[in-house]
Amino acid sequence: MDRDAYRMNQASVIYQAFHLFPLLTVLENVMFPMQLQHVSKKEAKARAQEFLGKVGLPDSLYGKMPNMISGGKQQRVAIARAMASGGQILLADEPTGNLDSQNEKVIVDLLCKLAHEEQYAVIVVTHNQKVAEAADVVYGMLDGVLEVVRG
Amino acid sequence: MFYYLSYSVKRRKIGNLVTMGISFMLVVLLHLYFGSIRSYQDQLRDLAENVPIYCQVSNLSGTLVNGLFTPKRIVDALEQSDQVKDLSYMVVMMAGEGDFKEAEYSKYLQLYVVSANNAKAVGELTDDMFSMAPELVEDFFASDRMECIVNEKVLTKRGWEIGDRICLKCYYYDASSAFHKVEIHPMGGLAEVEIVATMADLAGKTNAIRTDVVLPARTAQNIFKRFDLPFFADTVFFHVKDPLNLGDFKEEMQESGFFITSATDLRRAIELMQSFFPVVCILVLLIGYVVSYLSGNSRKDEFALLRLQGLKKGRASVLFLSEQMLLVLAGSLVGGLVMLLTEPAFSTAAAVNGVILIAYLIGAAQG
Repeated sequence: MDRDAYRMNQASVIYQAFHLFPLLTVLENVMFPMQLQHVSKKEAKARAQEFLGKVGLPDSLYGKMPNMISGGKQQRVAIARAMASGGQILLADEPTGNLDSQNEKVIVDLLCKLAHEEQYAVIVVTHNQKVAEAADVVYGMLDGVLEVVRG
Repeated sequence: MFYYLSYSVKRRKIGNLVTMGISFMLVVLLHLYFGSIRSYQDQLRDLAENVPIYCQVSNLSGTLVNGLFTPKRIVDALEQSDQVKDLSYMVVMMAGEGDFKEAEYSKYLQLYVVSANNAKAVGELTDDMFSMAPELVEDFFASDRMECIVNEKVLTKRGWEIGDRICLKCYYYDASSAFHKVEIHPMGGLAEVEIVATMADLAGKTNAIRTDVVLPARTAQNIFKRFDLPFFADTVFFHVKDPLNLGDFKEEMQESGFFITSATDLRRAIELMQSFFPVVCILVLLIGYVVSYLSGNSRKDEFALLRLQGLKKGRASVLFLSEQMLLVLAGSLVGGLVMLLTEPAFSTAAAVNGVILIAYLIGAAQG
């Protein structure tokens, strides 16, 4: 399997520490995956704005650098970037680990919305019980063995 | 993909300035290094022109430089030598006007005849002491015409005028006597010469030879030849054309030892600097490698992120390498341009930039 192609087109990762490109603006971060797929700049920009709209970010933030916005907003940009790759699989590694409870709820709601309304397969790795409760299916890892807990 | 490179170059200000600054400094230092070597080499090349070696034929002990009877073959050899320039030689004869009996030579032999290939050879005689233009004086000494220049006092005393043709019975000095003493002998006939100019009297000048009549050296040689006599020069001196290739002349150049030392010192300085070249190369490569490696290492997370976005390893590497090359090239070019303003040497600049680019390329690839 071509892992690079899989990462580019099939699955996207959302990190606990956001891992946005520090030298790109919010809009450029979301455009990046599409430009890797040779989408024209104009179309990439339009679609990036669409994805940022879906995650609830206003256009006043598009020109900001990642270090100028809050953690919650950074995570939403990361989600928008993950959606921009075109893949239907979102892998989220402790997506709320660096967020306060309010932002945690916003992100969890967003991921649920993406799974239920946008038909994404959202796979979340978490130690947070509240995040786990929001999931449709919960797996647990015990002594290296994965087993169904709920669903 | 390269739009990311343009963002990175534009926005990573401090890091990029450090990279460019280091390559700029390396270029400047290398230019100074190569510039020093080239400067020494230029000095060595110009040394021959700026510090001439003067040579004078002398006796073995070096105590006599006049009256040496240097044979014609040596004079000819010096004239034909590629190592010699500004050769000057002269011979002193005695003469009387008109024909007279041999037994009465002491009564009539009153004229000191000096024959030379240039005015300098006579000693204390300069071009402005003649009654004709310097270029004509030069032509006179180079010719073999039966002409002469007469001391103005002698001219007046003897009632001669410029244009007169005078007959001289010449006597020459001979050192071949079995008694090892210099004798004077008649040449065997008369030589008729035309007076073409006068010269100032040399009486009172410190190193002056009493000179009543001056003949061109070739004219004197022809007179000697006409009477089947071996020509010789009393005084011979010259300059070495290319002191850096002395060879056979070295042992005679005791007075010029300082020059030889200087040339040797310059050569040693050049060799010493050139011996550092491998060290300089290693240093430049090391600095370039380390800086580039550290720069690349500090961007590992960024590299990983690009990979996780789906960018192939090769393309990501090319992206980072290209950025490094661009910055190093920019710094090197600025450094090279600055140095070219002071020391135009395109080949050196190109070589220096090439070395630095290679060093950074290796370092960035490893990082």
